[in-house]
Amino acid sequence: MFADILAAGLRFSTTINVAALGGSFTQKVGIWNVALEGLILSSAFSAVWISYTSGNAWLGLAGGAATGLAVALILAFVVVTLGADEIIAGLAVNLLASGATKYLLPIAFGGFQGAVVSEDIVPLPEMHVPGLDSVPLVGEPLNDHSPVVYGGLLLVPLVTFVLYRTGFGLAVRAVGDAPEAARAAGIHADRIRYAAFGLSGIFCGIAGAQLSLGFLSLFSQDMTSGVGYIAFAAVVFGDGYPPLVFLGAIVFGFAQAAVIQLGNTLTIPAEFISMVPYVVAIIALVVLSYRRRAHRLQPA
Amino acid sequence: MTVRHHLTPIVGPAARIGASIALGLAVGAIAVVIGGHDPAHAYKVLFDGAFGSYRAFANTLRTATPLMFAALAFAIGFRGGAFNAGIQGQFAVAAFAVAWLGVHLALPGGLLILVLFLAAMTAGLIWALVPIALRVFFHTNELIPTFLLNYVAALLIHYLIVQKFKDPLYHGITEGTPQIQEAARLPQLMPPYRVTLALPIIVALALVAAYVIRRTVVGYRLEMTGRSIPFARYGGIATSRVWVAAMATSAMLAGLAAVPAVSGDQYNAVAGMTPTLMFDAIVVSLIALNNPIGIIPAALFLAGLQNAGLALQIDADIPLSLVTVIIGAIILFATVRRAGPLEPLVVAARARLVRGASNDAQPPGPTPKVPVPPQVGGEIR
Repeated sequence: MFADILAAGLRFSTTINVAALGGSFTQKVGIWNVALEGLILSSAFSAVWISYTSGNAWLGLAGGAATGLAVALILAFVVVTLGADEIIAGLAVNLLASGATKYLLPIAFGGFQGAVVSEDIVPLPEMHVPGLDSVPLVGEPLNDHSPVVYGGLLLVPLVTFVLYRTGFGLAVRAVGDAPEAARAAGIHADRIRYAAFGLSGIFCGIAGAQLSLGFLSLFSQDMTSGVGYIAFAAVVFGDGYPPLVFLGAIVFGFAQAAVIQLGNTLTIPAEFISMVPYVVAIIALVVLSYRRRAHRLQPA
Repeated sequence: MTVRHHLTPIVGPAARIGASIALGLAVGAIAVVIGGHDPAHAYKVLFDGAFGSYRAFANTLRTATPLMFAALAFAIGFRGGAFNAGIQGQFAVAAFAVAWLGVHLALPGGLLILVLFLAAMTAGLIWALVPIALRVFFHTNELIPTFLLNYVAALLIHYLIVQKFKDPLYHGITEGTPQIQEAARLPQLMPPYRVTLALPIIVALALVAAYVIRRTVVGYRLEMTGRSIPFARYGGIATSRVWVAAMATSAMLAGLAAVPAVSGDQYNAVAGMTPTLMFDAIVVSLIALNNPIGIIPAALFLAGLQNAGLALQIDADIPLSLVTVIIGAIILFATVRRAGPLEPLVVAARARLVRGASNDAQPPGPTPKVPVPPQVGGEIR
């Protein structure tokens, strides 16, 4: 039981964590990127399609990242260059991703309706971390997951480093905090915004490929079912600071895993257990906004 | 936290909406070609399915009615600075309430229907109380809580319908409640089609909303709060109170959408009812520039598109999801304020237009009966 929750929690958290780390870039550049959901969904679709047609999961992963990047750049064009409302345009991307994947599914995978489950979809290989099994209790359940699971953990310090220890990260935060000052300092604000959107797209693309090729090996209509919004809640919870964002992702992921694993043993109806992650996300937001309010006056 | 553009919008509201609808239809045409069909034929089937016959038109009116309630809900909230992303959940909870009362409550006809309207309003409001309280007491932005509560509502209603109130004889895609009694059904205006009393009611509500926004102090406070909270507060407006009123009104209207849907159309509530209602409401409100009167034609356009989507699936063998793609593309471009690479063209066209207009004398025409509210709100958050 405990081992199952640990293994499932790690897998759930990975999708949320990787997408949310991508969202940290847009958060820090001062944009509410609610499109994580659509970015994950569209890349989950293309990752499965590429793996299905080419038989190579790594190509699927790369294709997922490329799809995330392409969709994010379209969104960046509409928001940054055309000056559209980022929330409305982000919701539009989510709707477009949902509609387009449904529309393309029977065209891309002849004969399938609603979901693609096939032997031809090659999943990402399981990675065996040598020596991890010898750690008592937690070692085995944490071992033998997709490489994205372990890569996702390494991304936390990496993104922290990029955002807080590099010139690019400084530019991102400068544009987010004070666009006028950043411009005065010679930073091309729009270019930085494009870069932030692009990075969020690549990260969500990897998260989407992990969802459809690492965690599961299938694609079904609207298979993300809100995971992108949960990831966005993690971004808002940590205000784009990767360690905190990671913490949020872990909490949401493990809440979801506990729900599924405990669902069979408890007498509470399944629907109520499924509510837990959403409620946890809302509570986390409240705690955060209240704390932030206590520390400093928020700009109204 | 927004990308702020200090320049005046290059693209005017009317051009923006026209262009986004055109782009949406163009994206749809590309999708049709990818699917291996003829776009001209597809759009002809779409138009005929929406407005081509008395029956098609009546069905478009039927579908448009709940959409008008939900779109007005979004518009009122948005104008007052409240982003109600919980319309779906408020609607679902209200739909269950209407179905439950419609089955169980024994009251004479007219009174029962009045109770159903009140119950739907209350249910919608109750579902928004938590996000309202979080914003007021903890300063939590309403966007994420209202949105996540949609999932909670869907799960709750699924539980209630499946475990407590299932009709074993109902055979839909999902589980549904039993049918409501005759007395709980709204009177029909175009029998046998389910165009009901709710249609004139929402049209009247839209007119009232337009009047309030344009002509009253309450409307002025709403507009100021929606445009800039610090500025409104500086002007002596109790912005927190206005925000709560806007959100509460929005939630009540979202709940009211359940009356035409359940009591006027479906005669029961099902799990996952009208799953696209909120996005549709957002797109209608955007096309209408959040203008209550504009919502009426915009809702007819979108409802027509959706009904026609069914015709498309049946007659032309093109998946219904094409309509989702078109709607998504329309929303994507609906709030743009600049023309990007086309900017020089737009500026030149505008200059010519302005010069042309100033040469012609203002044509003496009849003044419109209903004053058109100022076209604001779309870009202000």
